[in-house]
Amino acid sequence: MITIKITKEQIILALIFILVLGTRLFFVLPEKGFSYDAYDALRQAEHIKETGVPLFKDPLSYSGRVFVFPPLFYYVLAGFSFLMPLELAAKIVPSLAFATLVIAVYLIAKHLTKNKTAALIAAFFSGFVPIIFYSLGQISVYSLSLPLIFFLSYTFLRIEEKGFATITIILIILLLLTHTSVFIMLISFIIYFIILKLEKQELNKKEVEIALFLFFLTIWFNLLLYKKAFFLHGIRFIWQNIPLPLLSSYFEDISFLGVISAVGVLSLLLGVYATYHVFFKTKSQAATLYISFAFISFIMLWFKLMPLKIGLLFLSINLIILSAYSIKTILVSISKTKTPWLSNIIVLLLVVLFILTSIVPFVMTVKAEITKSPPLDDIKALEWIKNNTREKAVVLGRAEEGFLITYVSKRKNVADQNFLMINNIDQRYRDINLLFTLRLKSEAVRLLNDYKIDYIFLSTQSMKEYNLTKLFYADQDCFDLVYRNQAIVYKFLRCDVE
Amino acid sequence: MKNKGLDVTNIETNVINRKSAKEDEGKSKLKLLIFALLIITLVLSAVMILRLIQNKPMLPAGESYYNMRLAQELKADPFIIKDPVQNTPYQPNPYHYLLVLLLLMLSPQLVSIITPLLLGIISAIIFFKLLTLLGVRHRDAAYSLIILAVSPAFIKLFTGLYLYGFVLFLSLLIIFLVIISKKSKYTLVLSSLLLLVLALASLTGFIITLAFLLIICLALKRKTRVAIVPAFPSITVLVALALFSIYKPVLLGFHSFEFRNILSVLGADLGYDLFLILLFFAGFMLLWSRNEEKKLLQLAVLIFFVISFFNIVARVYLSLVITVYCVAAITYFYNRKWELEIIRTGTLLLILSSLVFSLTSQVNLLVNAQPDKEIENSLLSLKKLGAGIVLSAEDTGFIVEFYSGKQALLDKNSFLTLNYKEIKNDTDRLFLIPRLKDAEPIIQKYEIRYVFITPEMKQEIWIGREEGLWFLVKNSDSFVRKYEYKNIELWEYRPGGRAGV
Repeated sequence: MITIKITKEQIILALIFILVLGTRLFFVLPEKGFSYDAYDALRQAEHIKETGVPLFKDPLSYSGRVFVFPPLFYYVLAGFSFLMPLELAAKIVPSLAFATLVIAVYLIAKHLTKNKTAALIAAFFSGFVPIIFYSLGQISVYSLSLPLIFFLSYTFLRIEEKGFATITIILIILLLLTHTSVFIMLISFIIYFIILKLEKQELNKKEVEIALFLFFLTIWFNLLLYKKAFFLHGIRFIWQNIPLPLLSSYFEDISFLGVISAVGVLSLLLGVYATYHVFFKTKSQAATLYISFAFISFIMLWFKLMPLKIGLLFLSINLIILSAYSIKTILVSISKTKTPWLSNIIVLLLVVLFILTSIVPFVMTVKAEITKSPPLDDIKALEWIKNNTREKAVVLGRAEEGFLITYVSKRKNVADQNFLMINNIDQRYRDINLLFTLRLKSEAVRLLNDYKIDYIFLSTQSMKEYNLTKLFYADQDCFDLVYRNQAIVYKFLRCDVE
Repeated sequence: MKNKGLDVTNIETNVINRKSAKEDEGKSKLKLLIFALLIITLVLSAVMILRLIQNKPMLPAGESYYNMRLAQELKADPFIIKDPVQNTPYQPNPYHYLLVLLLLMLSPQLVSIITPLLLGIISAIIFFKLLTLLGVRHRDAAYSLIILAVSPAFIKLFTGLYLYGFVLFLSLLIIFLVIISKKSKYTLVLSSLLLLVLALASLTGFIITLAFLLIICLALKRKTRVAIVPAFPSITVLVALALFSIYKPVLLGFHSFEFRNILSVLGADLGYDLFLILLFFAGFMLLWSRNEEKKLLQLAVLIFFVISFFNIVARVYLSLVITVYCVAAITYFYNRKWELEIIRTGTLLLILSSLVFSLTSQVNLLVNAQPDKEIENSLLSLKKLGAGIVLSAEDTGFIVEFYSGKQALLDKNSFLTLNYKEIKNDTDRLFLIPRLKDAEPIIQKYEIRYVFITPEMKQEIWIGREEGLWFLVKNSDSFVRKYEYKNIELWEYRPGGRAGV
């Protein structure tokens, strides 16, 4: 008979896991909707559930387009949707995946410090660091890619041990099929090897081999997947072909206060101390890997090569892992003094300090994220479009509302937030904004004809954004007001203006 | 006695064995070289065959059409001083005269096939010989040729009539002659002559060749005189030509640093393949750490590599050089003692598939390139119309001039003209103007008579929407449609109405 011994640490870890999951679900489950970009994931999962394949050839997005992407995350969502309603799965799966990050951080920190207390504190920090709650309303692919990346880094460090090489290869493949963020890991590996070389430390042969394999596989796979996008956008591919007016809001400037608020002051201080300790006092190959990882995240943020919140997410988890190293150093130092009982107080103090310093940014993040879902009035208008318009109709909405239009009304949009592979996106984005603000009918009609638009969806959000209550140019000759509630829907009567 | 007899037999057997082993080795070396050359031939001819199968003109769009047109003009009058179509001064180029020579014996179709193919194969053979002379192992040199066969720049240069293909061939030949010449007067004269031809064909190529020669001499510990002496006559002639004739020495091929110009995956014309660059870096690090004696050579390669980010001619040369480093990297990955056998297999398979990927991408690009039969037919119909300047995309300029015999307002040589920026700005603006009164001043300024619109232009300039000039020509009485078939449109500008539609 096999007996499984459950240790005290495992129970605490399980409790942290449940606490993190519970907290996330507490905020997510009562919400009726998702953030605007989440509706694409819902459509993809729905399509996979129905047909078994993702929507690579999407007839609705940009009024019809082909776009290839790594589909694993959507398959996971679709898989869960067989057990529960899709919209419920879309709330539970990302929360569950983010909660597993706690386990990844615990394992890494334990491997790094050989200290269970430090590892548990790090796990707790990683579950409640404010920035991790930024994606509450989203169905974020990072919820899967982030734990995968950190599990990969963990197996990478234990590559010498039996079975870990195989797990590493499996994780690499899963990660590649999930998201392109594997590149951050790859660059971190390179920096890690360079640092080890500079410090004249011996490189682990298996680590080098795995990194080499990852290097070639990642580049090959992504080249295969995004070849056309590379060709079309050139180096702008890095910025996902985001229209210039939007670019600054995606890739924001990094500010010191912003970092502190997102990462937490305690993790930042402890992480920086660990870096100092590793470079100048002791040597730790494992810690060097996370220093490289944090360094790359910071550099990518600095040079705006990565969206701010994603960059901060990576930076914070790495700093938390490094924090474990500092906590262990502190605990070991205390245990060597005449007052070893002080270590328990220090642990408590650290946790309290973390809570105190994180509570305000935590509440702010949660509050901001929860209000991001589209208003019910807008969804009602889109449902009206679904029930009262022909199937091939093209609906104009803001680019931010594109996914919502295709998901709820099942009609073609003019643009959504998936900008890759779209030619002249700046012009299209500009035209869409113009169509909401123009006063001159002739120009509006020309644009509406150009994009073959049938309906204009003036949502409550658009009204707020453009500060209007109706379209200026929408007179009775060319437009029919077919839906009027809080949101408005116009039908374009295809008139020609000389 | 008996023992002595046995010894003699043993020695004889050993000698025979050694001889046959050497012969076998020689045979396998030859086989490998032939295999590499076969791959090169196959790749280069595949582009041509696939274009033929698709019923497309043999040459992909671009410079080839300019070179062929000028060769045909020179065949009729070998001493032209003005490009009869472009109406710009013509500086004699040896490459055009080589094509004239071939056109005297063969049809243009055959010249289009044979010239690039032969130049490519001969360049590969000379490159192979050069590598072995520089101390690269026979096997590695042959592998370099295989890598060469998948490098985008090589494939492009030798599947069309490109000047830089000819320049590369000449350079390799000159370097080879200089290295093998041992105070032979004939080779000295020949290399001097070839250097002059090279300088007339491309001054940038000439300078790069001289630089390479100097570096090789230093690396092989030969006297630098060997490289400098043959260059003297050509430099003297060049100076004399510059002073006493219309010849103007111009260093071409420089551009600003942009990834789009460097990486073929981003659409570079003569760019590097991303994987080959990665392998080059790996190979470079290996060779740098391995070979203390040849660090000067490695450093020079690195400097040239950096220069190649800013110069297209340097990139053409470096496309050859990096193959050696790629082979070094691949050989290292293959021979290295791997701890994880599955990773070794995976990595090697990935490298192999990436090379195949690079090859297919480039071949695909060239096979799908314009012109097709429809473009050819539309331009032949333009040929029948009266004289006049044609407005089209800059990329289409050479094809327009080749098939229609009419001057294109912009082509890929226009950047040599003094008012290029002005013309470019005006045409860019013109393409976006939907009103006749705004467009007419520009049309009249450049005496544009025809507007030739291709499907690519519709997508790239107007995103498939009838806007700007496209909208104007369709809706204005001052433009008369002369041709429209399969998304290709030809319009004639006739101020004053549609008389004679």
